[in-house]
This record gives sequence, C-alpha cells and structure tokens, in this order.
Amino acid sequence: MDNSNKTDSYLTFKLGPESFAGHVKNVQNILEYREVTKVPDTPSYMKGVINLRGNVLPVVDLKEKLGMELCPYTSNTCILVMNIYMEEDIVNVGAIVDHVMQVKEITPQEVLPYPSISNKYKSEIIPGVFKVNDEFVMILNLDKIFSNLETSIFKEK
Amino acid sequence: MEDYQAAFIEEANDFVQILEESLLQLEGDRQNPEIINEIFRIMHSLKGSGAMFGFDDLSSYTHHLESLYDQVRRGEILINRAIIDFTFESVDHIKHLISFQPDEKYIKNSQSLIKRIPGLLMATEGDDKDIQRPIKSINTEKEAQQKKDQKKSYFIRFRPDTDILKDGTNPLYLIDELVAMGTCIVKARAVNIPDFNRLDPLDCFISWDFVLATKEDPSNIEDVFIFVSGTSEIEIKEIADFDIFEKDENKAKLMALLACPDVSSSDLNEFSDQQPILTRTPDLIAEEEPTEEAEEVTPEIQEKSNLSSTKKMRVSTVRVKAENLDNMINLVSELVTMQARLQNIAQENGDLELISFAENFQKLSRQFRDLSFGMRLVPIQNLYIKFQRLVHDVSKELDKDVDFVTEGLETELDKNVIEHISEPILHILRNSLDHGIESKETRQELNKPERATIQLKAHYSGADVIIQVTDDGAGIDLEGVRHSAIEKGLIKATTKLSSKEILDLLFEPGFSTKQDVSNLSGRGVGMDVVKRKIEELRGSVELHSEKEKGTVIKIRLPLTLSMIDGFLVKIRENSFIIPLLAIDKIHELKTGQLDKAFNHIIKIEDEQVPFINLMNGSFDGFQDKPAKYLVLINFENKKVGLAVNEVLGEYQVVLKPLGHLLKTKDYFSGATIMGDGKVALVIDTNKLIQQFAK
Repeated sequence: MDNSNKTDSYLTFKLGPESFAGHVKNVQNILEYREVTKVPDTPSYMKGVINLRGNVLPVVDLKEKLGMELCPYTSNTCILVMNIYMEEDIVNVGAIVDHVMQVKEITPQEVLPYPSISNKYKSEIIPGVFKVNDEFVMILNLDKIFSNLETSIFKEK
Repeated sequence: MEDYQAAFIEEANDFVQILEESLLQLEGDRQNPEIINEIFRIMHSLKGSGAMFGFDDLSSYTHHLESLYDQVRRGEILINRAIIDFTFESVDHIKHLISFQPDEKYIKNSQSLIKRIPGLLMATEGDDKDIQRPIKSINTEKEAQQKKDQKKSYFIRFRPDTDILKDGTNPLYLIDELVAMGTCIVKARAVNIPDFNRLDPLDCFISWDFVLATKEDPSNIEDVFIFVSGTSEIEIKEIADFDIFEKDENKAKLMALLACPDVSSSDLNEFSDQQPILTRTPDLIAEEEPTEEAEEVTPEIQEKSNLSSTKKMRVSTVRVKAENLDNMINLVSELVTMQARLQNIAQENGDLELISFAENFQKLSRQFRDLSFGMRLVPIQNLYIKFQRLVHDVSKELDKDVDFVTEGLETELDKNVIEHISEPILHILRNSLDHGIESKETRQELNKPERATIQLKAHYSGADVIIQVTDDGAGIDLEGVRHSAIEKGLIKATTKLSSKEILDLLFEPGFSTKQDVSNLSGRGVGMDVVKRKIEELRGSVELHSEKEKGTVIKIRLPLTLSMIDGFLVKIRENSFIIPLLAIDKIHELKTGQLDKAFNHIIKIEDEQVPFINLMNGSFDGFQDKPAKYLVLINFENKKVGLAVNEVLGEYQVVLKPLGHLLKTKDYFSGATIMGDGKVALVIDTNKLIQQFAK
C-alpha cells in the first residue's frame, strides 16, 4: 500500500477567530456545553468535571490552555470528548471549543509546515497546517497537549 | 484450541491451589491417607488433562510426581520433610509450566527436579528424625513380592451418583476396567429404577456389585473409581485372601448370594474362613472393619476427603469474567443514578401514578444493587493459602517455629479490595516473621513458648472490615525507633513524642528499624508502602506494640470501594459529599461567628474545636459565602469543624474516580453523579484536614 495516498481525517473547530483541527482518533464524541462542577484548587483552564454517561469527565477550556483571549460561552460552545493516549492508557478529557466545524480528509501532501518563527508553543504542539477554502487550519497535537496537563506547552524562554 | 487451553489453565490453577492447601495440611498430618490421595488425584488430573490440551511438559513432569505419590499411597515410602519440600518446589515449578509458553529454562528445570526423585526414595528411611513411625509396617521386599503374586478376592459395590452420566462418565468403562483385572462376576442392581413416568433418561439409577479375584493391590481397585469417588458410593472389601473362583462350588454359591438383592459384604465373609489365613498384613486388617461400620463410615470419609471437589459439584457455579462484573457494577450505578433522577422528576411533577411507579422502581433497583454488589464480595479465605505458604516458607528459612492461626476468614470484601490487600498483608506477615518473632534461643531465654504464634483475624465493624495481624514476638523498641528517626533526620533529637507518635514514624517513607537489611523484608519497601496501599483502598492502618509481648497491626477497610453513605452539603453553592461515618454532629453557626473566632478555634459545648473555613480564601475560584453550619468531623481522636453554607441530608453515593488528570487533588476521594445529573465531589476528610493542618 502506498502510504502517501493515505488520508487522515481531522475534525476542525474554531477557537475565537482561528481555525484548528484535531485528529479524529482523538475525538470520541461532541457534547453541547453543559454546566461544569468546579474542582477547587485547580489551574484556571481546568473548568471542572461533568457527568459523561455515569462517569466523571474532567473538562479543560482549550482556549485558556493555549493562552488565547477568552470570550463568553454561547449556544455554539461544545465539549469535545477526547481520547488521549497516555503511555499505555487511554484517558478521556473534555475540551471546550467555541464552534465545531466539520471533518476533513487530508492527504499528507496537503499538510504544510507551520512557520515556526515567533512560535510561542513547543514545535510538537502544532505539527502542521492545511488549507480549507483559503483559510489556514492549524493541526493540534491533542495527545501532547493533554497527556500531561502539568507540563507547559509553551516554549521556554 | 486456545479457548480450551485457557479453560485448562484456569482449572489447573485451581488444582494447584488445592494442591498447596493439601500439602500444608499434609505437613501437620503426614500419615493422612485422604490428603495423600487428594494430592495423587490432582497429579493424575494434571497429567491427564495436561496431555490432552498440549501441555506436554506439565504432563510429563506431573507423571513423575504421580508415581512418587503412588508409592507414598501404597505405603512403600513415607512422607518426610524432604518429600514435602520437594513437592512445594514442584508446585512452584508446575505454576510456571501452566502457561501458554513456558520459558525454556523451566523446562530444563524439570529435568533437574526429576533427577532428585530417586534420591528422595532412598532417603526416606532413617535420616528423618521428626517423623512418627507409621502405623503400617513396611513389608520387606520379599513379603511384598509374595503378597503381590497372590490372588485375593474382593467384594466391590459401586453405587454411582444419579448425575454420573451428566458428568460425562460412562460407568461401563469402569466396569470393563475392573473385569480386566482378574476373574470377575458382575451383578447389576436395578431396584432403584423408578416408575417409567418419572424416569429421567439422563440419570443413572443402576448400581453394581462385583466379586473380583485379582493380584492387583486394593489401591489399584480404588483407582478405577478415582474420578467418581467424590460423588458415588463405593465399597471395596477383601472377602478372602485367595482366588475365590478356584472352587466351582464357591462360584455357584456366589451367584446365588449375589442374586439376592440386599446382599452385603458381610454375607460373603464365610468364604474367608474356608482356608487358613496365610499372609495377612496389618494394613489389610485395618481395612476389614465390621461391615455395618464400613458402610456408614466410608461415604463420610470420602465426602471429607473430597470436600473441595464435592462442593464444586453440588453448588452449581458459573465462571464470570471479572471485567463483566465491573461493567455490570457500572451499569447498576448508572441505574441507581437514573432512579434518583426519576424520583426527582416524579416529585416535581406531582403525578401520583408516576410517584408510585418511581417508588417501585426504587425498590427494584435497590435490590438489584445489593445483589450485584454481593456478587463481587469474596471471602478473605481465598488469600489464606498465600498467607500460609508465606508463613511456612519464611519460618523455615529463618528457622523459627511459628503457628499461624486464623479467625473469621469467611469475612467478605469487595473483589478489588481483596486483590489489593494481599500484598500489604503479606508484607506485614513477613515483617512479623523476620523482625517480630525472636529466634528460638531468645524465646527460650525470655521464657516464652518456643512455638511462636501469628494470628490473622478478620471481622465486620459497621460498614468496615477489620483485619488484624497479631504476633507474640519482640514488639517494637520505641527507643530504637526514636534513635533511628533522629539519625535519618525525620525528627530532631529534642523532639518529645508520645509512644503513638513514635509508632507512627514507622509509617514514614524510607523508615526501616532493622539495621541490617535482610533478605526478606528489607527490600526497601517499608510500612509506608503498606500504609499507602491501604489508604488507596480508603482504609487505614494502626499499630500497637508492647515490648517483648508482641505487635498488633489493625487494618480497617471499607466493605466496598464503590458505594458509601454520604452527607450532602453545599460549600459556596457547590455540592460536596462528606462520608457519613466521618461526621460526628452538625452545629448551627451564628452569623459571622467564624470570622470573629481567634486562631480558627471556636467553642462548642464547652469544647474548643479547631475548624477549617472553606467559605472564603482557599478553594480557589469559588464565590465567597457566609458559613451557616459547622460539620464536626472525627479526625483521629479529635474533632475538627468544617464550615459549610447548607446541609442537604443523607445520600447514597456511587463513588467514581476523578481520573488521572485530577489525581493530585487527593483530598477528594472521587466524585458522584447526583439525581439531577450533576457531579458532586466526595471529600476525603482525613486528607483534607491533613492538608489544611500543614
């Protein structure tokens, strides 16, 4: 099988004005935003926990985690239920995003390098970008962002 | 095939467990023929089914053990320590062989172990001082040879269990086997066959009587019935020590006797008088007890010796994957949550029909919940072999004489708790044996009984289970602990500590009282690991010790990990659950009372109570609210208050883990889903207080 023709599926979503994408292997399902139970003494991006079919799901505000400007939640706000691959385990984490767009099939040729000058994130966080209707969509490495919430995703200065 | 192999491995592991159990019994009761037979039977089964499922190494290895125990069974060699130790080693070896792909080195190990067997046979006589002389005298080879060549006549009665056909045994094969041993007449008894209308074709109602003249040893006749002896009634009796069929008149007489439906072995005794007794050996006399007694006693003994196997046959059980049980519990928890929600909706809605439906649903779901939680309960007994084996091995290694006494092992705990509690308890036992129990000489000097005692006791206490390990060893040297702690920098030389506080030091990470790290317990894991493991199970551990008298370690564990009785409170408009058992009482506060309090202590009913106010400050990101109630929590022997702004009442809580990402918040033992579908956090009061006491 020729690997170069193999497409990858990405779920695209909006955080503020920007478009991002996460690999579908990381996305289990999408929930409407619902009230989150706060957990005291956690970083502010950790919004708390919700009930996911009888289990407890921690929920992170993805914009806050990425250090972006915040805005109030709307009816479009969603929680992505993600499968995060941590060493041997798969852990479920919820990520709050502003707007879920669509699933795109992307071939490896379509993935462009992310211009790394003045990149404030560690390079593995955004491994590449692709274009949809003349708009750049940044691929997020969700495993890297969520597998260890304590480690910083930002470049050390 | 893989499926069958997996099933065989499970079965074989059961066998190994029974085997270990029997061996430990055999140690105390070396002449017990029932235990020896049990061991033989297991070896036989392992050999047979091992070969059937492609475990050839296992099969060939157990073959050697089987032959060894066959000789033991016949009384040709005596059980001694060397044989028991060898068998223990073999059990460990068999454990390795029972796996899909045994390591090459284990297969080689088989050879070296097998080579030791002849040595065992040689060494049986003389060199083992602590064996009692056997009841049976060992015949000289010549006598034995003579005995073997001579035909004897036996009366055999075989009354199979009615279920024998369902177990897949064909009694006709057993009969064929008997007939092949010598001259034999068989008489089938059909008196028990019921009326045709009530006849179940799958049941066996026929029994058989045999008269057999054979050169074979009586134990070989027993072997024919080895797989059915647990359930069927079998009587084997020597009626004459010669071939009864030699005389034609006897044959006719026998036929006449057997034709009579209620013939018993005593009726056949007359034949034995015909000829003078030639070479009677004591063991055979022992077998020839009066018939009435034999008939009563035999089934009883057999039942006893086959207790484990009979139990399995009588109580029909099904093996269930642990994973399925876990999934079922998750579903039940969800059902309980849904039911709470339904109740909420019904109450709000006010529809009488809906309310009564919701109530019925509640009853049903409660029963269902209790039943499914009950399924996960496992008696502590299941771990007994592990414990006893450890005590046996370690006490031997250290040359200490130890009695391992247990009590209340039928106490049940959640499967998950049982799985995780065995390591800590093994560690405690190892500690007791290594550090606690003194050497034989020291015990003599101290006028203590030479044989030390370690007691493992379990019982229920409310919603908890208490497991207590007591030894009568040296106890803990408080001064020694103190010195050691000072050396290690855990405390300052000037620090004054109560004896309890000193004992608590043992649970500090990296603490080990014994100077020389021994091979056994000093592996760098101390009591701190024991404590941590038990706390992970939401349990606690306490240590009491008296110098030269012994040590008591008390472990308190929750019955189940997933359900607790909780009390719902609100702290700054967020719901939290406090475990009901931790709560002493609830005290109403006057407005601003806490803010005025000096140094976080208020006076309640003539007592000064320190409190934690979570209503402002701490708990980041929550809106401040005035405290209205103070929940008094039992913490160690004190009371500590926890300020809340609303108390909502009791609540049965299905505990859900918070998951990896929030693990650092260890003063929450988990979360639970409330009737309205929202999540409430469950507070671990001990951890919370410890956290805020810092």
